[in-house]
Amino acid sequence: MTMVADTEKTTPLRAVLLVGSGYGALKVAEDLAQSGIPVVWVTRAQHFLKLPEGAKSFIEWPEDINFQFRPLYLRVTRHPLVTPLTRARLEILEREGSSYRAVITQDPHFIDYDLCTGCGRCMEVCPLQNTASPPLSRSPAYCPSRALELDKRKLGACRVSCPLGINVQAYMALAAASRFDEALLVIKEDNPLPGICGRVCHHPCEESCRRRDLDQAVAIRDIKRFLADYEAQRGPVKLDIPAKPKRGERVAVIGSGPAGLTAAHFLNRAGFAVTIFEALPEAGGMLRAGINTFRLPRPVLDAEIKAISNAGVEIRTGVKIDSIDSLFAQRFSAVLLCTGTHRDLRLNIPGENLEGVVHCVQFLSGVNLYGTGQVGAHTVVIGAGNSAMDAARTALRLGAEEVTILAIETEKEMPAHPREVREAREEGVQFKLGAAPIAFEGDSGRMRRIICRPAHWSEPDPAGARRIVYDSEQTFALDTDTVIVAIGQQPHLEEMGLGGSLATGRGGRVAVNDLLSTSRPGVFAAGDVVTGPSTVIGSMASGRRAAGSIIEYLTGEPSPFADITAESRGAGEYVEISEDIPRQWRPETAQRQPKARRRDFDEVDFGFTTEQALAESKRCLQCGACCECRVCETVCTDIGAVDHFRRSKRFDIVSPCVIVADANELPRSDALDEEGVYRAGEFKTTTDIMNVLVAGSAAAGQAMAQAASLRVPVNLSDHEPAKVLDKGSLGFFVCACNGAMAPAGVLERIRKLAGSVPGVVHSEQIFSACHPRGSDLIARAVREKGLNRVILASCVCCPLEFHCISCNDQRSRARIHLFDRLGLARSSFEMINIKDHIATGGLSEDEMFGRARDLLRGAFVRVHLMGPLGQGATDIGSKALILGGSQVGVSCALNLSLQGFHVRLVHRCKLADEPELFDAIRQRPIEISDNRSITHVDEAEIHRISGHVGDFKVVAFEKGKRRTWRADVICLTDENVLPLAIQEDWMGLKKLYRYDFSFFHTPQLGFYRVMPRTLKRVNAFEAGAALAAQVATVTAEAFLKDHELSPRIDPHLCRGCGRCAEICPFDAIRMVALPDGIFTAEVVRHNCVGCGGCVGRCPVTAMDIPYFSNQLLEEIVVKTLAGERHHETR
Amino acid sequence: MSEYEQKIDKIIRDQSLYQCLECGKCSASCPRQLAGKEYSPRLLAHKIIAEREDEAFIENSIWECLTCGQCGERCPSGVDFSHLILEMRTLLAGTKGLKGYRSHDGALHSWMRLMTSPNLQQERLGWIDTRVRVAAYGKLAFFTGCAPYFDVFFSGIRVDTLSIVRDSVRLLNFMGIVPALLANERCCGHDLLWTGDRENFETLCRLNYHEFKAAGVEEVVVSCPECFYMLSEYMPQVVPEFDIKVTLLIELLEREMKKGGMAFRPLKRKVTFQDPCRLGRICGRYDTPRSLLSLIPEMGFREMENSGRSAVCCGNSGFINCDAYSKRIQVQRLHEAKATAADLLVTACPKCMIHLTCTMRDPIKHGSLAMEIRDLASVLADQIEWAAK
Repeated sequence: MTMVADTEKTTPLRAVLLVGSGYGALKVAEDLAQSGIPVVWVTRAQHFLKLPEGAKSFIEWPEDINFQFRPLYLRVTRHPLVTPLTRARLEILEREGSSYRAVITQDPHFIDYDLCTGCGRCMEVCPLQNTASPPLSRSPAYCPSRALELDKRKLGACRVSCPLGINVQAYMALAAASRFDEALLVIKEDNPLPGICGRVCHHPCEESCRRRDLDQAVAIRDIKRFLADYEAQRGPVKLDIPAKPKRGERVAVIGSGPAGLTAAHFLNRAGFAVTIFEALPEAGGMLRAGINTFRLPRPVLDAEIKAISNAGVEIRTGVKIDSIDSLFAQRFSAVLLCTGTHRDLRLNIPGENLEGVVHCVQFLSGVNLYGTGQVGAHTVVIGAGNSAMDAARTALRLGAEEVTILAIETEKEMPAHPREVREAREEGVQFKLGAAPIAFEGDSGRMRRIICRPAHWSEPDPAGARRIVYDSEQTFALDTDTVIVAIGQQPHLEEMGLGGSLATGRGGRVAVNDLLSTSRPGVFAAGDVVTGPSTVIGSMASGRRAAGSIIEYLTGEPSPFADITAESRGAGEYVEISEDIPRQWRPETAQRQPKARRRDFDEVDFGFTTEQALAESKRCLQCGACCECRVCETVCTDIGAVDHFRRSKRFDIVSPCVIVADANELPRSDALDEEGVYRAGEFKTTTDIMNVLVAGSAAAGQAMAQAASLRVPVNLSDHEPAKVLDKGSLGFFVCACNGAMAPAGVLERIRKLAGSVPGVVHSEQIFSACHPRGSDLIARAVREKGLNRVILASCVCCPLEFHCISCNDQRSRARIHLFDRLGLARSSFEMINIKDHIATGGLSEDEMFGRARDLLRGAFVRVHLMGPLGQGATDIGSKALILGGSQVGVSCALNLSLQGFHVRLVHRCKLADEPELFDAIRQRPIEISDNRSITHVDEAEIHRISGHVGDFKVVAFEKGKRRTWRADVICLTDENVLPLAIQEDWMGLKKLYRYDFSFFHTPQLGFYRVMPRTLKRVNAFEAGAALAAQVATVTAEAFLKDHELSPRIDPHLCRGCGRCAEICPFDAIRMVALPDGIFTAEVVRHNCVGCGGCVGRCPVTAMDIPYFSNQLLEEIVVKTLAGERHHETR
Repeated sequence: MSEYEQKIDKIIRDQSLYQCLECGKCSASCPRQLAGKEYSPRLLAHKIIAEREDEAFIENSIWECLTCGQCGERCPSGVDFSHLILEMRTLLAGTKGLKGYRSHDGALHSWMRLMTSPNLQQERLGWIDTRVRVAAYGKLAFFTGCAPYFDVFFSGIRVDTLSIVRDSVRLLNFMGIVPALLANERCCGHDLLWTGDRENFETLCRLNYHEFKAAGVEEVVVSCPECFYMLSEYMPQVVPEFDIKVTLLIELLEREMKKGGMAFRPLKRKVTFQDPCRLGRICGRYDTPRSLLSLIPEMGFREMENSGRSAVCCGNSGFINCDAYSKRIQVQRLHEAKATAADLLVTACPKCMIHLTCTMRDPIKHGSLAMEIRDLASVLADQIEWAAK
């Protein structure tokens, strides 16, 4: 596994920094981005909306609010000027000159929000999906996305404590889901010897198991053994990680113990030609020589060694290497020494050469390898390690009547695993502890008795060595005829002719550096030969590390086997142990009766039954939430959204000002009081949502005054309306939604059906339409095949730039990729949302196909009726006219002038039909600032306002003189001028307002007014800033994009009756006089919102909207009815 | 020569098109062309005769015509242009499908076609109240027509075509006649026939005939000129056994008036009259409305600039091709009516009433074109009394 280095660049982003989530922050981000100012939005939350204070669940919020925010959410989070950083912390916020420097750390996003299609296949394959706390979940309701989220905490303690880093949590999860093959694959990724480790591993994982806090550690080793046995019975499970391509270099591994076998396995997988040289007649090293068959049956050992050799490792047994030079001469590029510790340590006491005294390795290997070995009736084993236990139990099986362990250690100090001690005791081994042998005595060279003296180990000295401390001068004797000395081993390099050729350390161990390289270049060492006697798993880990070093040595690439810590991946602490989990003790494996087992060398343990294994693996607490089995990645290969190895990212920001929506997310609380830091309101259950939004706009407005220099100029040509190409080549694409749309056969039937329609020159299945590569495929086909019109069957409902409350991130994304990024023509696309109709679950394949066919039929009608959607763009300048010199008006004027607007501020406005000005206005002092971009008019009588955003005309009288003022935007900031705007409750407009949350908007774009109620939400200064923000959002884009839903009028058909103008609440229809006293209607698209009311009102169908036209509806009805008739007659 | 060609030849022969002199009087008198529409009856005649390959032109023009008959009225060669259009539409609809933009998205044609359903149950008599006396069956029936539906559909312009039916029945009642009103009477089919849907038109004819027979009807009185034209001229063609007398209400009234005993109360109004083309130019009834109106004492009557044989169409026919040009025709027609200084515009066809009302109700005109518009039957029903000197 490779780790991706954290290479986030550090050129600071220049943008306004917005801190915290919530509705107010959403409004801030919208205003800033729409006005052309880049925003970096950071929140610790998972999404940009969070529950308002006091609300326990989102359901408590009125549904219409939830839905109404969806378009806004999409507009903002997908805005090109917004950098949205969720699950990110603002670490540093410092004032630097006139701006702020900020550093943000973003937690890794294991599922890429920008790529995830929401197909949900990862959930289907996740072994933890049906547990109490599945790690994968969909985005919450308030986030309009189907994207998945992965709860992935730090790595499990079991995994971290395993020297090989085996992903215990994953194979527990898979085993608990009865997915034994996959569980085994997880083990095999790190461990080529599961059957061996499942029996003899000393399982440090279990010591670290968090379940011990609750009851007892999970029986991890037993589950591993169960899985290995499962494989042994059912045939080998193939490791589906492809081996690397073969390389030329050859590597020699000396020794076939756990270290050598493991190293050879991983080197072989890395592509090297590996040969293991084993001096003994059979491979396995200490696994074979030192471990008894009743603990590790030979078929298990043989099978796992066989698997390694079958994979391509050459194992040459009975070959003793006596010179490394000879290996290099045989053109081995590297040599790994894994010869272990096969020389027994000696007591060095009198009588150690008596007949009847044997040493442990010598004794066990005799029994295990050559079938030799005899013991007398009374056997004493000296030592208290696992080897001593093995020796003692072997002695019993060889016929000793009485076997005694003699050791200095106390019961608790014995290094042997307690289970080994227990099993030995069960079989009848006796223990004589707290005494050391000082001499062996015999008769005529034959062992007779051991002279012992009570003793204990001293505390370790500074070098870590311990001495024997005798407790008394008294001695006692143990009668015995056989003594097995099992007090440890050391390497035996001399035997291999290697003595002196390599630097060695204490106890004759080979000295190595951190990379396990010996003093001789190209020669590496691993396992017990380096560490002295250790554990199987430790040796294996050492072997794998050495393999990594050799790979690094031979290829120059870093070792693929990095050590892991709990923090290597994931984010956050372990899942809390729920109080609902019942305590439950672990089961013991069944064992043969002691009486029976001491009669032979057959295996003692039986291993778990399937039921036991299932129940036991379910005890795993799944501490890290996600178990990182990475099965999800296998269903996300095309999409690439899931990546368990993503790292956290760092962002450096330079910001002229900071807007705080949630003070808790600030790194220091005193920042709030600083200049250039603005508050956006927080949404509490008790507050009106409008208050929060107005406050958000106010903060945005204040920030704009400071951040105007960041404004990004918009290039009008980028937004030229796409033209519809001629009729002709028709293309069809169906999105497979990464396999979640429908079974492949159904999609192929749909594709074939569409492909068979006359005029269709290209039909293709796309793995995902919302994926960047998926849209690339579509664009390529469109351009290569010259497709004029395209039908895309996916989850996307329309090609418009507009978001409705049903929209979601995936639908929005597909359009952004196709139209904004790749520049395809919106108007040449016909989108049909088949997903909501066929991927509903519970449908048969024929039903799915039938539904898709019906939708397709409509699409094929529609695709021939598509017309251009774009209607052009209009320049909007930066002239603002503010009518009313209230505090709000003055604040707005000042703010806009700071933003670079040309402002005309009329302090006292009188309407033509108003008898006299209010006293409050007449007597109000006129605040004149000497700002040159503000033109002040003291008083004027306003007669008429006409036109639209970018071109308003105001007829007014100033000191009796008629004036015509032109303005791009108009703001009404005194109560008495409010009637100049279209009233907000006209024709049910109030409802429409709610969708935009446009507190200053009138039904006409670019025409704003401040209602008295706004001043109950914010103060006048803030209201002015908020108003300025709205002005900036509409003008700073420098043009108005056409509205795709504005109707067109057929001048021949239009009777000029004016009914459309009558019904339009937005003043978006102008009646133009023609000769002979008749009229014709014209759409003022700047004012049009595309509601379609006029189209319905027109008595002669002279009006039609370009998208979903009357003609289309008629044709669909006609063809559908024709189809019905067809069905009936069939 | 193809069958299609042969059919066109037959139509040309039947409607005397070969006699066309290409004098252009038709185009010069066509209200649609005068309103600015690129449509020329003369050019169409030329194309049909000599350039039949220009199918697109012919097809488009065929659906443009108002069938008002003005051109035929002026034609020195006696070409019956309206019926030429009718036959051509029938032919084209049968071979190339129904074309022409239909006003109101074709809703009215749809309901007319709905009425071809044999088992249709209608709610067309709900308007009947104590003001009228009617029977469910009998020898004499009154043909209601589509008024009950029109008023629902055109509620937006507040038109009251039901008043025509009610007042017609009131006139009959006054004359001592209690007519049968048939609950499942069908549309007369005029608009379907004139928009080329001959098949459904004929079905409606047959269904109506069965309704009449089932109710024991021997005579049908009709107020609407379109219905009258269909029932009297076309039903006998479609139903060979047709044996029912069809009477135009105002003619019945005129006959009865001549017998004496009935008179009209004075009406102090200035009145002008819009000749419906189906009543005037097609059925030739120019005098009856005028002689009846002249019987109303104290009423001022002034003809519009174009009246009688020259009367201008109300702008639409058959609920197709309503557009900016129809509008121009209507506006000009209402200006003519206003120019007479009349305060009451009388017409004799519900369609004229609907179309002219629609224009009067334009929001853009703020009512500047509005004037009271009533059907002849309503005016007469309100004024009729027993003469007692």
